[in-house]
Order: sequence, then C-alpha cells, then structure tokens
Amino acid sequence: MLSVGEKHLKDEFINIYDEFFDDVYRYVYVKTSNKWDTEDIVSETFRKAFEKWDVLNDKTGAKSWLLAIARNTVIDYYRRKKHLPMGDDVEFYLQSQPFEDPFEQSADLDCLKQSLRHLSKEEYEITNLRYFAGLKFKEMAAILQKAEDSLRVKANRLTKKLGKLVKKCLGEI
Amino acid sequence: MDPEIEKQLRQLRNHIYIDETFKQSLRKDFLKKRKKPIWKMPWVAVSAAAIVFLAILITSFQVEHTNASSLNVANSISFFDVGEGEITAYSHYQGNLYVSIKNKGIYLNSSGDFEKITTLTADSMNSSVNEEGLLLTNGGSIYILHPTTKATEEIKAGSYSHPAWKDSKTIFAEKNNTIVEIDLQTLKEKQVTEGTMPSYIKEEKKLVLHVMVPSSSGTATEEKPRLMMEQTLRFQHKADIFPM
Repeated sequence: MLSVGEKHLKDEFINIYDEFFDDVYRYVYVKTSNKWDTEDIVSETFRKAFEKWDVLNDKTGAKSWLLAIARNTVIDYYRRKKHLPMGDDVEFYLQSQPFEDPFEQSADLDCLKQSLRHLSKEEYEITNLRYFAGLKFKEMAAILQKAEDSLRVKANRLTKKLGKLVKKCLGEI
Repeated sequence: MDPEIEKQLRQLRNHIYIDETFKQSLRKDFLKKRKKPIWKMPWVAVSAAAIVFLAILITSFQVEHTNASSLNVANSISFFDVGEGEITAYSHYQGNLYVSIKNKGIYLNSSGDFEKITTLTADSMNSSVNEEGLLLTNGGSIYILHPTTKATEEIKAGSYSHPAWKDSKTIFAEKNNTIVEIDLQTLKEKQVTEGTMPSYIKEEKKLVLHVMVPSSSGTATEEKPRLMMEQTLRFQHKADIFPM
C-alpha cells in the first residue's frame, strides 16, 4: 500500500512521463538511429528519473532534467557496449546520427535530412535539443552548460546554413 | 533564424516514429513500480533479520552436539595426532580403519575413536582382511593381527613385505622383487613370479602385482601393474601375464 506522499510523487512522475516521453524518445532516436537501442536507453532514462524524482527540488525543470539524464544515458549505454572503442567513438554518439524515417517525405524534407549530415557535432546537438526534443534555449543552456545567448546565435547560424544547404540540394542555387 | 527551415525541422520532428506500444508498456511498469523495492524497506529488513535470527536459534537446539571428550581418544591420541604423525601403513576392515604410526603403534579407529591396539608398527599392511586377521610386516617379518583379540602373531621372519591373503591357509608376499606363496601350516614358500605388491582377487582367482618393464624410451625400467591368472600361478609361466 502506497502512502499519500508516495502516491503523490508517483502521480507527478506519471504526468511528466506522459508529457515528455515523446521528446525524450525522439532525442534518443535521433542519436541512435535504431528502435532497439532507443527503447533500451529510454527505459533506462525513465528508470533513473523515477528513482531520483523525489530529490528533484525544482519540478518545473523536469524536461531539461530528463533530457540531461537521457544524454548521459546514451553515453553510458555505448560505453557499456564493449565492441565500441572509447574516445572519439563516444563523441560520435554524442553527435546525433542521420536517422531513418519510415515515412515518405517531400523533397524539401529529404534535402533537409541530407543537409543535417553537414552540421558539426555541436550544431547537430543544438538542432536535436531545440527542434526534435523541443527544448527552450534556457533549458538547452543548462544541459550543454553554455550561455543562452551563445546558443541563440549558434542556432540562428545553423538554420541559415541549413537553408543554404537545402537550396543547394534542391538545385535552387 | 530561417523560419522556413525551422518549420521544416519541426515537420521532420513529427516524422520520427514513436512506438506507442512500448510507451504504454513502460508506463504500466511505472504505475506498478514502487519507489523502493520492498526488500529495501526498513520494516521488511528488520522482519527478515528477525526471521533469520529465530531460524538459527531454533535449529541450534535441534543439532546433535558431539561430546568434546569423544574427540579425544583412548591412549592419548586424537584425530589430529594421527594427522601429525608419520603413517607407515593403513588398512580397513568392516568399517574400521587401522593406522600404523611410526614409533607409536597400530591404532584402530571405530566410531570416531582411535584406540591403540598394539605397539607393533607396520611397514606394510594388507587391505583385504580375512577372518583370520590383518596381515602386516614389520622389519621384514610377517605378522597376523587378530581384530577381535587385538593380538599379534609372528608368522615368518625374513625380508617380506606386502603380504596378501590367498585363502585361510595360504598367503602371498613380496620378497626381493619376487612374489612368493607361503603355506601357513608348513611355512614352506615357493616363488610365483617376479614382481612386487601382490593382491589377490579371490572371486576371480587372479593376482594383481607390479612388474618392472622397459620404459617406452627403452633406456630404463618402470613399474607397471599386471594381472595374473590362477593357471599361471600353478605353472609359473610368465607368458601368461596379462596387462590390465
């Protein structure tokens, strides 16, 4: 039988699960590019979050907290996989991978997907957190430990860079 | 910001497939899950410790205790003394262990006690004890130790070792790297074959012994076990010695 306090905590946790599951899932999927690794990592992320939920003082920062756990879990997950050498390869997984899309998409989106391959590691991580995980710049700043303004500038630059790459891909330049 | 690219990135985001079955399944797990596993809860741990303590307490009353004095044995020898002493020979018969300890004597171990039965020590002792007694040698002489009376009886002096019963009236023994057969009534002996350490299998009428054979390299000899049939004992024909 759960105490009133425990029930309250569990209800809170289920609410954030429902609210942020999709963002965490997408963020991890973009990093792993496969469903199986994604599900392992997402499970582990929420398990860790469940264990520590009661010590999280500021519940309003739950989303960035969850994404920070997910980011570290991805790193740990690939470190545990012995076949993956350490060092630069871990960095490789910190960087997001071009993901497979099960649905057909327009030429624009197809070109955008291809253009993502030309982003730097940092630019790709900013794109993932900002547009696929749906974080605010303030939340991204907490995770990446960078200044919010700096991230805004970088995001501005990278969207312009992507715009040019897409146009080039479409043959408009 | 490039608003068109931002719009397309958000569209692309929606193309990332979410496995709803997995999502609901994981959610159910958390609905059932406790914050702490039940065994980590203090009252459970205390209860478990109490149960284990009671179980130990109860079972400790059910253990049959051994009287400490029974571990020390008659004639001032214990199991540990046997372990520390130099065992020169040993044999067993009907669940009893006979141990010869250098400069001490032969001890009988039955029901956990070591009892000294003779001051005579054995250089070799036969492991197939007949009703007639336990065969042993001391200083080359053959003795019989009678288990019931614990008396020792010298049979024949000489340079014998490894005596073995053939039947109640005949024994085999090793003498100068040959096997001899001794008639206990007349004490006459006859050479059977070359070899050492005889042991007789009464049911199959076979003699097991060790013989020296050339080593595989051909430069030395080595001791190998052999099996000899009853007929060969009569005819003393070495060609009838069979490898085991």
